[in-house]
Amino acid sequence: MAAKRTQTRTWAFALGLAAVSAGATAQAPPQITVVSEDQIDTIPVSEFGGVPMVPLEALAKLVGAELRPASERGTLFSANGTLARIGDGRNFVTVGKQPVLLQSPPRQVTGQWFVPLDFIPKVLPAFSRDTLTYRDSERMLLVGESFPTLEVRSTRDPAYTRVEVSTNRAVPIEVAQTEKEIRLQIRTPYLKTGFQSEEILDEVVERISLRRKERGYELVVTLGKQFWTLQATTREAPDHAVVLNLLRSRLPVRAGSESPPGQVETIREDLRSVEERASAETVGTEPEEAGDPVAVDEIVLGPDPGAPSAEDILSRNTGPTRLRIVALDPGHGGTEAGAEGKGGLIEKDLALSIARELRELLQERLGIQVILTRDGDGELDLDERTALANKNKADLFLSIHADASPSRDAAGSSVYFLSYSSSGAEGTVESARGRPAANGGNLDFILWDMAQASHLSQSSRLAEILQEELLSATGAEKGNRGIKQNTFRVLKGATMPAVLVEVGFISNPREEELLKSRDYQERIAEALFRGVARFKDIYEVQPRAESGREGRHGPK
Amino acid sequence: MKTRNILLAAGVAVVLIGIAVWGTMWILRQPLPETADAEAPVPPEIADGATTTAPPAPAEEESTPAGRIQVKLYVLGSSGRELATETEEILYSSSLQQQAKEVVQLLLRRSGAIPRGVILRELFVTSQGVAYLDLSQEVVSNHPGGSSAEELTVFSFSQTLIANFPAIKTVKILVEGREVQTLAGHLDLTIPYGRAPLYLQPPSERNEVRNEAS
Repeated sequence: MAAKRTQTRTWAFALGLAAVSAGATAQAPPQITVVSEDQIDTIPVSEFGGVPMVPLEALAKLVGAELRPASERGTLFSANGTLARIGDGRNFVTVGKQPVLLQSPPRQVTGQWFVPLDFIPKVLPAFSRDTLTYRDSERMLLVGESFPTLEVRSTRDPAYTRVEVSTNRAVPIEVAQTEKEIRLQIRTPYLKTGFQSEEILDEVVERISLRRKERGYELVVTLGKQFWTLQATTREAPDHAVVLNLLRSRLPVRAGSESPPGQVETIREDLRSVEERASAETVGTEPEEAGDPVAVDEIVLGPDPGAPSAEDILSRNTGPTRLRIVALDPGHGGTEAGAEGKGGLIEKDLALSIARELRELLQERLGIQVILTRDGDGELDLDERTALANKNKADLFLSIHADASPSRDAAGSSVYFLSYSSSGAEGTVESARGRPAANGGNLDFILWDMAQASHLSQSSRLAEILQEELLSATGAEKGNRGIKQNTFRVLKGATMPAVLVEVGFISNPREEELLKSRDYQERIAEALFRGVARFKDIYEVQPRAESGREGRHGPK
Repeated sequence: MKTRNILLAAGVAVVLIGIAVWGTMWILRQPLPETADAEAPVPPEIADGATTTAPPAPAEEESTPAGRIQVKLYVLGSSGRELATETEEILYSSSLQQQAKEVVQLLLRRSGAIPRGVILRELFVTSQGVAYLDLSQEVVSNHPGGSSAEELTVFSFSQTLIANFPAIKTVKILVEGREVQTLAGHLDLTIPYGRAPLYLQPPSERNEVRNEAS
């Protein structure tokens, strides 16, 4: 099947100063843009008799030269011991003793001297301490040589296309996303780069192009039909880079055995530190009773929780699509008690009680194998919870919590699924700074983040179904949809549809009283059970009916 | 001609002296910052970021009376499940960092979504627009828990800073100078935060946000 190919192309920046864009500009700009390392200035261009000219005074200021009148019809231009004589109606300038021919004679207009544009490359460099480079097509004058260099690099993979935009020193870059494009505003006056544009023409990214803007550059990534979501991260060593991971909306089906093992190995290597991080001690979980007609792999327990492996993320073995194993995650635990009600109800206890109830229902009525991330008052790290579900190859991850608010009025249930954007409604993804930078590349974090990515559409469907059931079971306020999306840590590493359920507000005295009762807890467990059962029906016909599951299971 | 110039110069001098005197008075009237105990070690992230200079200028209207500006605070809404806005006047400061600190100090008292006893240890803004907000451990130890409460805490900070300072694009919360996984077991605090999701926005601002997003 679709063999996994990773293509990498690199544009090294051209040595020297290569042009970016501009092309054949029909209309030359009405000013010269002067770009130095840290700022941009402009010098206005005026036309006299059809010849574009610039004020000599501005050029003198630029190189720190002195202007003084030499005669009625001429002026002297001097700096660093060099002298130029300008004017007297002649179309050349004497620099020292050398005459330099100009395209038209300098002229004096209302007391100001103007020189034709070729004065800039022909005469000005003799007076400047810095290297001057004049680009006539863009009317741009570069002062100095130490501009940042830019490289754009794209990598293609069946699951995502990665675009790395790197500079040799820190340059402010802002990432903004619209429906069709991702735009990077690169805020620096000038960049050395050989990159102009690339047609990728795959279904995730169609094109990448760089162009100059008034105060910097803009890199536009044109998105294709299969683009699904963006993750942006930054890297600060050894270079400075913004890494855009553009995830594909569907993973192509591929038979596990046919993939070249080398690729997977590489990613595995990068994942190692995640696994190391995740392999802290796990609090024991009791094995589930069998009573389960479906043969499943042995449940993995103890201190070897799995981080998502490359296979988990990018694909899984083909096989019949069945919802066989559900991981239930009672929130909090141990010294981390979660929210506490005024009436003494503690979130961690409530969550465990509902999870145990739900486990019974799922096992008895549907023969589903249930894994509890904790079946006691153990303390678990958030990453260990999903790791446990991953290792046990759970098909569903359900984290059970009770909500709280500083206001006692807040009430009702909510079901959350994961969001990758921490910038809420703004639609821009600010690069994820603040990640531990010590591990050089951020690939491990990127893959950890991606674990949930290919399951989001199912997670959102599951959230809807569960909230519907909760609302009808509890009769909670109807105005509130209660399906929410945010950056929940505990959902990030899950390689299966995953949601977090807030069964009600423990901080609301009325709801706390309800939540305390065995009866109400059973009603909630029943509602969640019905939700999982409904989801199971959809899930098990999924590959034919809907998309989004191809990466993991083949058709029945 | 000459006399005119002298008069002009004298006028300018008087104005400058006036500004200087007023400025000194203003500085003297400033309360001592409640921030950071001096012996607290500066965490590496902060030391790093502090070297980047922050672009100045707060966002707000300058039309308020002498040296005061209006700021907008995102505080706990009456439903307990979303944010609400409040406006308040504070003294103008020409330093972004100083002004942002003052806004956070005010927010600590007024938010209702931030646990009691939290102290702002440090705040600085990188040139990339990330505001690092270093809070004392009470933001964890006094946190009441619950996803909604945690969301409200995080976005009360981030949205307030973003709304008042265009130079601030995202807010990264640190606790006692260190990165933490979460405040109360839910939101991933290893990433910086921007504006709140729609369901946390004040009802009055939801349409605005929706339009911006489209």
